[in-house]
Parts: sequence; C-alpha cells; structure tokens
Amino acid sequence: MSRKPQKPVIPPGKPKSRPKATPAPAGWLQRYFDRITHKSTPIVPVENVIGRALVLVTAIMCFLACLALGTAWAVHRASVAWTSEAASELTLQIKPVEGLNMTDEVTKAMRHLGNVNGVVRAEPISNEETRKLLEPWLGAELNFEELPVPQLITVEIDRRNPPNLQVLASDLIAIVPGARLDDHRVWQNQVRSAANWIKWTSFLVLILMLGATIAIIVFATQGAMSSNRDVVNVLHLVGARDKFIVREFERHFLVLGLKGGLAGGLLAATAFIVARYALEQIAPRSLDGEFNNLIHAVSIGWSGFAAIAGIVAFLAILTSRTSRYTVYRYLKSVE
Amino acid sequence: MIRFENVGLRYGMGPEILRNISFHVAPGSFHFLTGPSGAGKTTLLRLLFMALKPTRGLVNLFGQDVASLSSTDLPELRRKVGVVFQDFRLLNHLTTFENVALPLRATEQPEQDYRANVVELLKWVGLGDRMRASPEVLSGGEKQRAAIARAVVGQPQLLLADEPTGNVDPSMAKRLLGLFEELNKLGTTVIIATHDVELMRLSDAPHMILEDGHLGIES
Ligand SMILES: Nc1ncnc2c1ncn2[C@@H]1O[C@H](COP(=O)(O)OP(=O)(O)OP(=O)(O)O)[C@@H](O)[C@H]1O
Ligand SMILES: [Mg+2]
Repeated sequence: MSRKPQKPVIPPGKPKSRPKATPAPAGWLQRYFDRITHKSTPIVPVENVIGRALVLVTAIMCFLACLALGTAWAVHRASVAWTSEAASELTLQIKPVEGLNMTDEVTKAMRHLGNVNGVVRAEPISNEETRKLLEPWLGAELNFEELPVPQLITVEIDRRNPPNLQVLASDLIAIVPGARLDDHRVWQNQVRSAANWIKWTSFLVLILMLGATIAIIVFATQGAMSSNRDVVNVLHLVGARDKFIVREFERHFLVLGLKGGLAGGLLAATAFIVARYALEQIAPRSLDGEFNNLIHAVSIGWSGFAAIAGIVAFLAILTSRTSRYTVYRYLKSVE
Repeated sequence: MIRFENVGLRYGMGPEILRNISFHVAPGSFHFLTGPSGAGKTTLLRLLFMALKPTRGLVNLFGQDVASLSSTDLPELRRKVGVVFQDFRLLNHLTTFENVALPLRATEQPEQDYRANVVELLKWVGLGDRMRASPEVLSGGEKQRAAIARAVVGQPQLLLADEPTGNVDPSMAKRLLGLFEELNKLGTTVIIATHDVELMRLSDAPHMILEDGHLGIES
C-alpha cells in the first residue's frame, strides 16, 4: 500500500477506441487455442445442483434412447432374418388318413415335388427329428406307431423362380389326401406385424423421451438463468452482448449434455454387450438357428457403436440448442 | 455528454424519488454527487448507466436519447461507461483477476491482449498478490478496489462511482481519488457519489447535491 503511483493509471499503448475484433484468417484458430490453453474460469458457474441433475437426466435419457433404438433395430433385423428364411422354406404336412399307408403317401408326395419347377429340395423330416421337436410337449417315450403324428416334409423353393403355391397345394391334395402345404405366410405375417408393433412402440417411446428431455433442459436452463441472474446482470452492465452471454450458457450446457450423453451411451453399449453374452449362454442347442438370428440381431457391431455415438452427439447438440433458445428468450424478457 | 431535462423517476407505484431534474455534464468534467442517504444518488446513477429508464423527462447520453435505444444498442453504449457499484457486484466464482478483466472478456478480446494491462492495474490498486483469490475472501476495502479496477479497465468515457471510498482508510481513499483524477486528466468524465466530506475537500470539483428529489449544483 506504500507504493506511490508513478505512472499513468491506464497502461499506455492502448488506443482509446479499441479496434473491432477483426477475425483475421489465422486469428480464430489462435484465439481458439488461447481459449483452451489459458483456461479461464467459465463465466457460467459450473458446479451446481441443477447441472448435476441435468447430467444425470441426460445420461438416463441417452441410455433409454439407445435401448429403444437398439430394440427396434434388433427386432427389425430378427424379423427380416426369420421371414426371409421362412419364405424360402415351406412345410408340407401329411396327416394320417384311415386306410392309407404313410410311407406310400410320403413317397408319392416326394415324387410330385421332384417334378415341380422351382422346388430346389424336398426332404422328409425323420422320425428322430420329429421326436425331438415334440419331446418338450409329449415326452421322450413317444411311440409313432400308436400316435397319429403327421409326417413333415421340408420343401425349399427357389425364391427367384417360385412355383405357384396355390396350384402346388391343390395338386398335392389331389395326389395325397392328407397333404397340407404350409407356406408360413400366416406365421410370417404375425412375426412381421409383431415386429412392426414393437418398432413403432419404440419410436413412440423415443419421441416421448425426446420431448421429456427437451422439457427438462428448458427447465434446467431457466433454473440456471434465474440462479445466475446476478451473473447475467453484471455481464449486461459491463457491456456484454446477448450473443456473448448466450454462447457462454450454451457452452456450459453443451458440456453438461456431452457428459450425460457419454455416460448413458457407455452404459447402453455395455448393456448390449452383456445382453448378447447372456443370450449366448442361455441359448438352447436345439433352437440354434432361431437363436443365432436373435443373437446376431442383438449384437451391435461398429455400426451400433456409431449409432450410439450419434445419439450422444444428438443429445449434446439438442441440449445446447435448447438452452440457447431458452437463454435468448430469457434475455429478451429481462431487457 | 450527459443531459437531463425535467427527469422524474419513481419505482413502480412508489413516490417520485427524483423530481424535475435538469442538468448537463460536459465531457471531461469531474463531479461529486452528494446528498443525504436515501436521497436518490444510486437511483440517479442507475439512470446514467441505463439500468433504469426515466418515468418522465428526457435523458440524453453521448448524444443519444435513451428512450429511443434498442436493446442491441445498449452493449455498445455501456462499454463507454464504467461503474463502481455501492455493493461491488463482483462474481464470486471468478478470480479477482477475471472479475477485473470481465469487461474486456465480454468484448471477446483474446486474454493475451489485455492480461499484462490488467495485472498492472491490479498491482496499482494494491491487489497484485490477490489476483487469484475469489472476491469472497477479500476484505471490504479490497473488494472496493477490485470493483474500481473493473470499472476503469476498459478506459470508459464516463466513470460512475457509487461510494467508492466507503470501505477504505483515508490514505487509500486519497489514492483512489488520485486514480479517478488521473483518469479524468486522460479525458474520462467522472461522477462520484459520496457522503465523504473529507474526500470532497481534497478536490475542487463541483458538487451536485440531491435533496428531496431536486438537484442543485455547487461549485
Ligand atoms: N429497486 C427499488 N425499488 C423500490 N424503491 C427503491 C429501489 N431502489 C431504491 N429505492 C428507494 O429509492 C430511494 C432512493 O434510494 P437510493 O438508493 O437511490 O438512495 P441513495 O441516495 O443512494 O442512498 P445511500 O446514500 O444510502 O446509498 C430510497 O427511498 C429507496 O428506498
Ligand atoms: Mg446509494
């Protein structure tokens, strides 16, 4: 305090009218580096309850969004895999008819199928396989001589050159009275509509969640604005433009959104990996085919990780854009 | 530079705090604003830094009628005005250095351009070793000096100080008055609201005296 003023108060060398900040070609990059290396304290206080709550909410929303989208995607892939396989495969069912020998009927049907254009392969399902299929319902002590079990024949058709299935079905009935051709269409349609239902539900859930997220961000921003009223006042009084204030708040919320999004995204990725692993563990050997479809659908590849990263980025941008809009509205209202 | 014509001001439905005030302040001049507590000194300063608009009458600053200003013109005008608030209004989550540098940061200059100047100013007001401290832990007098440093750092054309020496000892008060006079010599118009008779005695600047909502000027 003992030092006497020896020189002019205002350090010399600064022109009275400050030059406008002209963004020189190299300037913005320089300024950017300055900004990150100098690391001045953010003008909007970072540590507060609203901020932490927002990070938590964003994390949960991101996690749920990833789950909803992931479910929709997995169901879509599984249903496509199932329905396209089933479409190239028909089942011919031959019911036992009084007075007709099953083995003869099968031979007749096989002979007819062999002559139809578009049928690639036809193969009776052996008693052993049928027993395995029915075991869960009828027990291991299955006696085919005593039970009127229908004989199944798998028919593989050329999908590019399919036979007329109606003609094929009626021809077969004419030859083999107990025949019934099942082209899985009913089942396929059921799978498809179930899959669609799940997909649309997921999207609906996603949209609802986005709406909730936006509402929460708006509330959080409004809360942040009113708890930082002093900061905003002081900034106004020292001549800060609204643009500057908005940018400070936007940056703050972008960081919060990114933090929450990353946490949620990581959690979702982990959940998918765990789900896949768990499915692999519980997959019963007898249902290998179907389960492989499911496991394949659940497993997320690089595209899945990219999608999660996309969701995270989207949420972060949504957070900063929403807060930006809210801050602008607030600043308009206090002027 | 400043022209008031028949200015009246009331807060909400309250009584008129300022009544029929008319005066003008020439560029480069130095004034004290005084009057009893509650007379409306802070209110008059608020009109001058555009935190309030007059209920009636005309306020003209830097040749512009404040009633006709749009919110986009305000920042540009406010950068020409430095204010020392009676209650300082420092931001506790920023360091003292950052508080003082805030007006420059708000104009989006890169920090390296002004860092040295701000440090020099802080040293000059005796806060050289408190730069990294939060204003929260500063003494009343240190806060006051930080508030003054923030007001003058952008070399404003008009400096408004509300009780700038209320929390410092007489020798510091004298020193700070020296700072204001120095700025005034460099061309800044200065208005200091104060009750401090000792302080006013140190200068021969004219006094604007507020009483009962009316303003008188004494040389
Ligand atoms: N925001 C406000 N709303 C309502 N009334 C206010 C407001 N601010 C100040 N007043 C009233 O206006 C009058 C003048 O207040 P002001 O702060 O301008 O006085 P002052 O001269 O600065 O006093 P002091 O010397 O104590 O700082 C007071 O009666 C005060 O109660
Ligand atoms: Mg006052």
